[in-house]
Amino acid sequence: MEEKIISILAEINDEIPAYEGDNLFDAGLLDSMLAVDLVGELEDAFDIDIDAKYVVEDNFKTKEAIIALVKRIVEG
Amino acid sequence: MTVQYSYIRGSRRKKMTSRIKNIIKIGLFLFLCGVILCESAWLFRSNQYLGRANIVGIHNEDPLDVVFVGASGVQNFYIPARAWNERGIASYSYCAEGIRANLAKEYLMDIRRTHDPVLYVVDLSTYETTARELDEGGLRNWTDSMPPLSLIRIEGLYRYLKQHDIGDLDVPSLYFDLIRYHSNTDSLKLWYNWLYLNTKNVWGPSKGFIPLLGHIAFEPVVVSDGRTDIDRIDIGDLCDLLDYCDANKLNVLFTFNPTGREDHEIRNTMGDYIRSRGYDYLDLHRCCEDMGLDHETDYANSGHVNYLGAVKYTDYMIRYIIDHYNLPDHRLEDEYADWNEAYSIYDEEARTWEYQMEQLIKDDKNNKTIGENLSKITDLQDWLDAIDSGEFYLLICASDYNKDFETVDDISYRAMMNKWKIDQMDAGRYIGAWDGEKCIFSSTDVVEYSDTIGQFADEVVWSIDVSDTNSIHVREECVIEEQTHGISIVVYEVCYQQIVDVITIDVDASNKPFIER
Amino acid sequence: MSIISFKFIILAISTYIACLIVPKKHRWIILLLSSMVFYYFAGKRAMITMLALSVFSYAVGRVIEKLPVDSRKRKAVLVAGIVIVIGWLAAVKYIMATGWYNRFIVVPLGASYVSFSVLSYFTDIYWERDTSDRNIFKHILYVMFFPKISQGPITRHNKTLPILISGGDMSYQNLSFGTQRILYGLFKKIVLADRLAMITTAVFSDLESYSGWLLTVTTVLAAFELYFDFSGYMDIILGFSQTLGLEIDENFKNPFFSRSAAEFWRRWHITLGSWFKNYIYTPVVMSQSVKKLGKSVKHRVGKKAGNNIMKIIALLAVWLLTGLWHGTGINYILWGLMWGIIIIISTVLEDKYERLNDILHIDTTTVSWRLFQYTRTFFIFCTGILLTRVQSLHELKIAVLRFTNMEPWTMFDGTIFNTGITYQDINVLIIGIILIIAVECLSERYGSVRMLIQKQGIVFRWCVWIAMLIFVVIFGHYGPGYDSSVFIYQGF
Repeated sequence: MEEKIISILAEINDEIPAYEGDNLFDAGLLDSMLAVDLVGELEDAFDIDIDAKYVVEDNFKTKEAIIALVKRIVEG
Repeated sequence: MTVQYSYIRGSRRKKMTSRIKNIIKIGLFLFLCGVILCESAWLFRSNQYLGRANIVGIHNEDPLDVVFVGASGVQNFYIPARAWNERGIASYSYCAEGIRANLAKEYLMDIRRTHDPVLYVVDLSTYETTARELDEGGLRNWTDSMPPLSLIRIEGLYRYLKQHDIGDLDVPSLYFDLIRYHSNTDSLKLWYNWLYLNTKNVWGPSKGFIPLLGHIAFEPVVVSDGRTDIDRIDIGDLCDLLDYCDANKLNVLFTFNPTGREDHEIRNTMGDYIRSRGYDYLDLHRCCEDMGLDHETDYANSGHVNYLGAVKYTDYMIRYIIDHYNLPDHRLEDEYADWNEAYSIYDEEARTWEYQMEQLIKDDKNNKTIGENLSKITDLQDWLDAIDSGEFYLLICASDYNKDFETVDDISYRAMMNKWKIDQMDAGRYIGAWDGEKCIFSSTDVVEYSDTIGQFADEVVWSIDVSDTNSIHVREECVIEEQTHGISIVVYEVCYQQIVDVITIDVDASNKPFIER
Repeated sequence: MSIISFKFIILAISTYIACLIVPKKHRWIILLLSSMVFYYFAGKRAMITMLALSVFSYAVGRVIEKLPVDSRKRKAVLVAGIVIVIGWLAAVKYIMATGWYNRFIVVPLGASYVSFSVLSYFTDIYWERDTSDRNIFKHILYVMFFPKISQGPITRHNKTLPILISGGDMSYQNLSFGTQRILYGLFKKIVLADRLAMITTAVFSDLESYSGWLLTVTTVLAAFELYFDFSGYMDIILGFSQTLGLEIDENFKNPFFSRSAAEFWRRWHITLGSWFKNYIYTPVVMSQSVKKLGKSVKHRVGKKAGNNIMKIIALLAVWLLTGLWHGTGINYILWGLMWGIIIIISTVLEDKYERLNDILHIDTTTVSWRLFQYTRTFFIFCTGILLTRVQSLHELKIAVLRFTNMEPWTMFDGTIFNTGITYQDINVLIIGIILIIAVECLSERYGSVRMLIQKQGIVFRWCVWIAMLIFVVIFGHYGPGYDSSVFIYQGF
């Protein structure tokens, strides 16, 4: 699953997988517009529904956070 | 354990010293800011600048024998240069317009920072005994002339404000005047404001004398010998002042300078009190004759002598001082050589002033003669010529003058209508006030108007009402009342402050103009 | 109580001293008391209104939390809370716009800011991102903390309240940095913004008397005025909070260095932008109906179009509401639409732009391209200023017509002095604006300029701060003779 997520991230912005910092938004690699695309892709790929309440900066700050979020939703 | 304990103690001490260091740093920083800010206030002050130069400049003077202290009652009255020429007395006027004698204690304190004269002469004309209305202008003329951080200034301000109804006055801006003046960037253009950044650069012009070159004539006031109940007047500030003089063994002569004021009872009472405390008191109203003061020629307004009066006043005061006090003659001493230069500058200026005053008085006397004859003239052209040959203040009005004045052929009538812009009217209404050739006010639609002639104590209120009929009031007295026809004119003579003629001009059936009195 | 007033200085200093004396644990009580004093001077009835709002939001927060997640009741309480707060805000805005007097609704300071904070509090609790306050007094402090009450920043409860409650580090460093920041804010606000206001109010209140050229210049100056006024205010209150060791959200990050409209709103009024992102944009874009629409478009037209349609709907909602938040006139709606449409176009056509740049061989890494982008963003901002500074569509028409009549010589023939500005004012403005631009350039490149100064020797440091203080005291618009100035953003 992690690999799939990483590949989706690379599709959104190819610099994201290599990013090692602690905030994708501050680094300018992700913004609210791209986050919408990302959520759409994740929903399609894992057949999940990501509720608005999960869409906060903290959940999308790093690729680890994103992976954790998807895991949490998938596992219900 | 013990090692660890002492380590904690050490770090605590370190913390304490760094805290103390920081507090000292903050204090020093604030102090520096304060000093710089306060000093920069000089650049933005815009009080009477000659007065400010007098007050600041005294500290740059060589030793002085006599210092006169007061407001315009000193500034326009006493000529230090003459005292030098007469008897070699080094004197100076510590004065600025309107400064209150109630703060004389602080003035003396300020003077004594750099001087120890033999005699102080304190003019009490601006001492407030009853009316405790705060005079911000006078107060600022002194406080804004003092170094912003001066303790004497703060003390004076505090004492003065404590006794007054502050109302909506902005008090912080009195103590820290930059708050008020900082937006006055225009003052940065003035070169003399920049001198104050080093007050050693500042010198009082003519040692504190500023001549008045105006002229007014008025009846001398009858001096009364009456007294008032001392409990009914406020002499607290005077007591403080006398206590201060006692404590410092100062030699002070208190005066009331000769003016047209009438509060003799209060003055006499104060004089009695001053004498009872062992100080000299001189009511100069009683010395007008000895001085040779002429109320017809020597006054600029009823509160102040003009240059001619100042000369008489000064000469009298010099004589009085020489007679009553033991003062040295410095004329042969080298340290005082600068005074000769000061006198020669004065001497040169004095000639211009004298000439100007002579001309002015001649003109005014001439005017008076014309005025006296005015009411005998019946011909319009002659009357207009007479008006032209003098300087009069004219109050003109018409209320329902719907004459077709275009049809009147008379040249003098037409010239008059044109000169005072009366021919511009179309509804038959006109109000005009003319000071000689100068238009003060002129309107063809205003129904009522009121204004003043003269200044300060000599102010005369007039009003014109043309709502229905012509009526003119001067000094609340009716001069023209319900005149229903013609153009009404009141002729006022400013110097002697009197109405010299009241006429109504109209045209008769054959379109000939006539004067009616 | 205005922040530029004697009373506020006294309140600030006494708050500081009281906080120094009181142990860290209890400092929040001092902050609460000071906030009450601040609001008391703003008007007793306004204070009661605010207290009522605080109690109301406290209750709603508690109720939402207690109800089971996903229950209908929970949702109903949230919706009711939101509707009441927005209804109240709308009433306040309506009163402000029409001047219509009402005995029951007072216009308190910063209603728009406070109500947004409260709305985010409700929503965060509903979404389980945050827990509600147990202590009502702590909650009142969150709503009414006096430095941020009149113009924001709109801060989130779970981030701000812990800072306020825990009490900050009142170190020497924080004191000096905080004071320096206050000074810098005062410089922007009372030296520059209030001086610029003289020109802009005169020109915008009498459009017909000034040429197109002067109107252009005035619009640019009005842009600076708004920035200096608002960011200066933020510097003052954030600086004051820093002296107390409280770190509150920033609202500005050199906005004029934005390369696009979207970036501008991440640098200008940051907390408002992120509020709209978190509480309007995300919920709209993630809502079931929008998602459904996006999916159906995705199937029929393509993935890109599907995503775009979702974003467009959300962005239009955001910008219409942003416009309404700023003002009720039609010109504010136009203003919101302008920003919305520009941002939508640049999002939708992003890849087309990139292709165009490739075809035209434009090197997007050059300084000149970056400058072009800055200027373009600034131009959009200025257009927005023009839209909001005119009072009506009729005036907007007059203003636009003025641009057909440039008359460039009016720049040099002294017409500008008709606005009441003086020669000295213009000198001060030129020096001040150059100084601010220099500082912003430095901070864009090196980060904090204050840190840069701090590294210098004590003589240089002191000279800088004393010079700044004197500049503010002498050239500031304050004290008798001037109206205690009203912050432009306080009306919102």
